[in-house]
Amino acid sequence: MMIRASELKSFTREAATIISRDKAVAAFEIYCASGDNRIARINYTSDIPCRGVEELKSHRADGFQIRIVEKRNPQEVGTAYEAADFSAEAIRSVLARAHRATVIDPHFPGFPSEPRKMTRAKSEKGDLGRASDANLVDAAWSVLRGAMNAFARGDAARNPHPGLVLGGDVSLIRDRIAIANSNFADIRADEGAHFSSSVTALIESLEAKGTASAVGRSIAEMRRVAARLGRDATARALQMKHGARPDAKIYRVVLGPQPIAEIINYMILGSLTTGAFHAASSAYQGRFGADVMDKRLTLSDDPILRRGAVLRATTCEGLPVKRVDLIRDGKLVGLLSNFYDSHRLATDAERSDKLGVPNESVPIFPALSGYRLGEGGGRRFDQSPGSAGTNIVMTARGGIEDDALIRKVRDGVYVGRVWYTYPINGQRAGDFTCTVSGDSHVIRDGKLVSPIAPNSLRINSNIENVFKQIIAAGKRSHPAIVWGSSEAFYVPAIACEAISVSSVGNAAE
Amino acid sequence: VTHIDRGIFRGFMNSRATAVALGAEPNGSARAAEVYQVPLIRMSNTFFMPGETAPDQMISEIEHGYYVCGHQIPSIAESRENFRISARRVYEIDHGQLGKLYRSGSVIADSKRFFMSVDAVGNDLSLIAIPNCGKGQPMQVKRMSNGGPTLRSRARLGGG
Repeated sequence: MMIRASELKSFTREAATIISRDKAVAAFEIYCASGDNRIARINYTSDIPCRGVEELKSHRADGFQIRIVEKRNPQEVGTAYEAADFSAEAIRSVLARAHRATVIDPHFPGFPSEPRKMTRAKSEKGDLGRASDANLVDAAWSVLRGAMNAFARGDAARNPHPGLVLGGDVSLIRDRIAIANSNFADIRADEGAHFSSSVTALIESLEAKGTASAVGRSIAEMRRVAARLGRDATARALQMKHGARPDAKIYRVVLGPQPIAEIINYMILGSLTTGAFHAASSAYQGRFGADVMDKRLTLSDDPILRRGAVLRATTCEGLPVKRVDLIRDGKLVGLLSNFYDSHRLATDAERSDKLGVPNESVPIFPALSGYRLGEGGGRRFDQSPGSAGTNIVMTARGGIEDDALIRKVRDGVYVGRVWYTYPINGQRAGDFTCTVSGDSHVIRDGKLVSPIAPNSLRINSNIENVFKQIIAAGKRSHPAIVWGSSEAFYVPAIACEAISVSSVGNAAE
Repeated sequence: VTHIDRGIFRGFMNSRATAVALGAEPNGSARAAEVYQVPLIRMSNTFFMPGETAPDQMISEIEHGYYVCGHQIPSIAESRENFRISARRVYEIDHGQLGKLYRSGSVIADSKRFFMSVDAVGNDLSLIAIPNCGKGQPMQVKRMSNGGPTLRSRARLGGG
C-alpha cells in the first residue's frame, strides 16, 4: 500500500516544525514522496515454452528529502534524504546529514516563495490509484487474448512453426507527494496515477512485425485498451508480411504519431529548457521568438490536459502548474523550467545572446515544470528538481485527415514506427538518425501499396526537415509513448517534403 | 562467453530459460538492474579481442581512407543489422599518413558487411565504460563496457 496523502502531509508538517527549531538553518525545504510502479510483462512465444504473462513485478519508493540553507552563508546549501523511515528520529538524522553535506552554490536562488498559500486545485485524477494487482494482470492477459484471437484468423496460424512472438507490458505508475518550505504558509500535496502499455507482435514466418501502444488514467480505460492492443499489434503484423525494401534516396515521407513523438522527445524537448539555453546546448540557441517550425504547428506541455494521462496540480517544488506554450504557430515562445534554472538563466550575463533577444526584452521563464522524477516517470523522494514535461501536445492549424496526408504525398513512404532516435553531431545541430522498425508502407499514387520490411530503412535527417519543411499535418493529435520518457505525447502525423533515407542490408542474407 | 571465435559464431548469452530452449548451457547472462525488475539477457563487458597488427602499420598501408576515433553517439538498428556511430574526430588518411582532421563525422554500415570486410585487427585493446546503457521496457539502466582493438574495414562516412 502506498502512503496516504494525509500521512505524507502530517509528516511534512512535523519535519517542518523540527527543522524550523534549528538555529543554524536560514531556510529549508522538505519533500516527501510515495511512489509505486507495477509492471505485468507480456512474453509469448509460439515455438518455445513461455509463460504468456510473466510474474508481476513491483517497485515502491517512499521517503523524504531535506534541503537546508545555512544561516552563516545564504549560498551554502545541504541536501540529504532517507527511504522508508518517517520517524522524528529520521528527520533529525537527515537534518544532521544535510548540515554535513553542504556545498557553496553561487547560483542558488533560495526556495520558491510565491504563492505563499496555494489555492486547492480541482483535479481529475481517475481511479488508477485504487487499481489492484488483479486489474493489472487481467489487462495483460486481455492483451494476450486479443493477440491470439487475431492471429488465429490469419493463414500463419496454420503453419506448424509460425514464429509468433508477443512482447510488451502493461505498467502502472502512481505517486503522491507533499512539500513545504520555509517561505510557504501551507503544506502542499499532489498525487497522480497513469498506465502505459506497449505491445509488439513479431511473426517470424512472415518476416513481419506490428506494434501498438496506449496511455491512460482510469481502470476502465486500461481494460478497454487492453482488449484492443494485442489485436491491433497482431493485425498490423499480419498485414506487413514479406515487406518491401525500398531504395536509399530522399523521399516525401509521412511520419506517423509515434515517430513524431520520438523525434520530439529525443530531439526537441531537451532543447526547450532554460537549462539547455544556459548551457548553450539547445538546437534553438539564439532563436527565442524566431520561427523554428512551420507556422501551422503549435507545441505545448499541459499538465491539466483534459484527456492527458499525466495529470499534475503541483510541481515537485511546490508550485502550481499551468500549461506552457513552447512553440506557438511555429514561433519559439516558451521553455520548460525549474526554479533553479529559471534563476540561473535570468541572471546569466550572456542571456541576451543565448536567447537571441535584446536585453530589455528577455522574458521571465516561470518555474512551471520542476519535477523530481525517477526511471519510469514517477516522482521520487531522492531526486533533485529537473525540468520535464507532462502531456506534450502538438496541434496543427488547418490539419487534414491522415488519409489526405498520404494522398498529398502521392509517392513516398509512410513511417509508422522508428527506433533508436539519437542526435548526431551534437544536440545543437538538430541532426538525427533512427531506423524504421515497423508499421510502415510504400506510398504510390496517394495510396499505401505495400508494407516495408521492418528495419530495412535508416532515416538520416534534421529537425528542420521534419518540422519546418512540411507538406501538411494531421488534424488529430494521437496518444503516443516513447521508450524511457516520463511524458505522454499527443501528436499528429506530419507529411514532410524531403527526408533522407538509407537502406539497411539484409542481415540474414 | 565466447560469441565469435576466429570469425565463427559459437554461442549466445543465455538465461536459464533460453538455454533450455536452445539446448545450451546457461551462462549467467540474465541481469536485472534492480531487484524489482525482470532479468534481461544483456551484456556486461563485451569486446573484440586484439589481433597482431600495430595500429600505425594499419594506417600506413592505406592509400586513401579515414581514421575514425572518439566514440560519441551510436544508433543501431533494432536487430543490429545496421549502425550509424558518431565520432569525435575523423582524420583523412593520405598515402599512409594521417592528414586533415575533421571535427566530427559518423560511420554508417550494415553490421554483417562491415564485420565480414575486416582486413586488419590491431594489437591494441581498450574498453570504454558506459555508465547508462538502457534496455527493456520499462527501461533498465546498467553499467557496462564495450571495446576492442583498432579495426580496419569498409564503411560509409556520414557528414559532420
